[in-house]
Amino acid sequence: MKKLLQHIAFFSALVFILSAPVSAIGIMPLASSHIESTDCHIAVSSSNLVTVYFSIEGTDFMSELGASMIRVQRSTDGINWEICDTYWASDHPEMMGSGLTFNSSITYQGQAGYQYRAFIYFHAKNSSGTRTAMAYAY
Amino acid sequence: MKRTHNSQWALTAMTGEELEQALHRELSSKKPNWDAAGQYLHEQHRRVRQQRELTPEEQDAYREFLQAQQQITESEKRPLRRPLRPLLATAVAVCLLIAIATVSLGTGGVYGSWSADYFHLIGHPDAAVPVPADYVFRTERPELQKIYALVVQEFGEQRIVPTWIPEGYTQEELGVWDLSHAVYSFLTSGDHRISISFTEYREKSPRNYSKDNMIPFVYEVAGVSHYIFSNAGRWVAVWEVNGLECKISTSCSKETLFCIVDSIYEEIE
Repeated sequence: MKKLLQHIAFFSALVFILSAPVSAIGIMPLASSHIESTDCHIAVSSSNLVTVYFSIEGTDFMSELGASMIRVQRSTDGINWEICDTYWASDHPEMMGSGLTFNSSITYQGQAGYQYRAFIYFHAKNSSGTRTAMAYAY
Repeated sequence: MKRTHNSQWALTAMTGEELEQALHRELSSKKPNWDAAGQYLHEQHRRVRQQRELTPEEQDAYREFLQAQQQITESEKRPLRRPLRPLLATAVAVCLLIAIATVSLGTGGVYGSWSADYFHLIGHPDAAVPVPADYVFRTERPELQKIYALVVQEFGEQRIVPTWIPEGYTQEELGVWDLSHAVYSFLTSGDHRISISFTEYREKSPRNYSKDNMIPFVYEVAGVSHYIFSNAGRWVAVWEVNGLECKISTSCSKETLFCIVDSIYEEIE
C-alpha cells in the first residue's frame, strides 16, 4: 500500500510538471481580457543602430495601449546579457497610445560585436482595469 | 474457508474440539488470518506428533499442507499488486498524452505552442502552399476587397483574405503597420468586431496571442492548419502560410469563424 501511494505521488508530480506552461523564452502569462496579441522584434542596421519594433492589439478600445517599459540588453555570447538602457513611457510618450491597436518603436545606438535583445512590458488599460504582458524581442 | 485437499490430514490429526476451536476463531473475524490458522494447525500438529509417530505418508501430506497454506497466503497478497501494473500503464499513457497535447503538429509541419494564457506559432511549413494559378479573389464585400488590395501591395498575391463576413459589418480601421510590416483591419457591427491581420512570420520573435484556459485545436482547410482558440469571449484563428502569419478573430460564434476561414479557399465557379 505504501509503495502504491508512492507511485501515485510520483506520477501526480510528473503530470503536474508536464502540464506546466510551455512558452518561448521570457514570456510570462498575465493577459487575456484586455490584450488580444502582442508583437515585437529587433532590427540592427549596418551602423549598429538598434530599433525595437512593437505592436499591441486590445480586445476592445483601450484608453492606454502600448509599452510601459522597454529594456535593451546586449550580449557577446548569447548567454550572458547586460542592460544597455531602459526606456519608460513616462519619458517617451511615443511608447504609449490608445485605441484598438498601437504600434511604435524606439532606437538605441549600439556597438559592433554585440547581439541585442529587448524586454518589453506591454500595457493595456480601460475602464474595467489594467492588464500587462511581457515578451522578449530578438 | 479455503482448504487444500491435504488439509484433510491436519483435520484428522486434531481432535474434533480442537479443530472446531481453530475454525471458529478464524472464521469469526472479519479478516480471517490464514497465516494464524496455519500456525495454529502447525502447533496442533507439533502437539500431536509428540504423542505419536507420523507415518511417512502423513509427514508428506503435512508438508504439502504447509506449502499449500503458504501459497494461499501469497495468492491473497498478490491481488493487491495486480492493479498496480495497469495503474502504472494508465499513468504513463496520461503523462504522454499531456506532453503531446502541449505541442500539436499540423499539416505541412506548422507547430503551435501554448500555455494556459498564451499561444504562438513555432516553426513554419516545410513546403510553401502555392497560390492556384487560376486563383482570382472575388467578393461582394468592398471592405474585404480593400484588405486584399493592401495584402497584394505588401506581400504579393496570397490566398489568405476571406471573401465572406457576416452582414452588417463596416470597416472601422484599415491600414499597414510599416514598422511591423503588417496589414490589419477592424470591422464592427454594434458591439461586435472582426479583427483581421497579416504579418511576416518571425521565428525568433513570434507574435503572442492571449487565450483562455483551453487547448487550441486545429481546423484544417485546403491543406492549411488553422489553430483555433478563444480569448475573452472572442474566437481566434491563427495560421501561417508562405511565411505570413495570419489572424482572424471575432466576437461571433465559433461556427461563424469557421465560415469566414472557409471562404478563403472557396472555389468560385
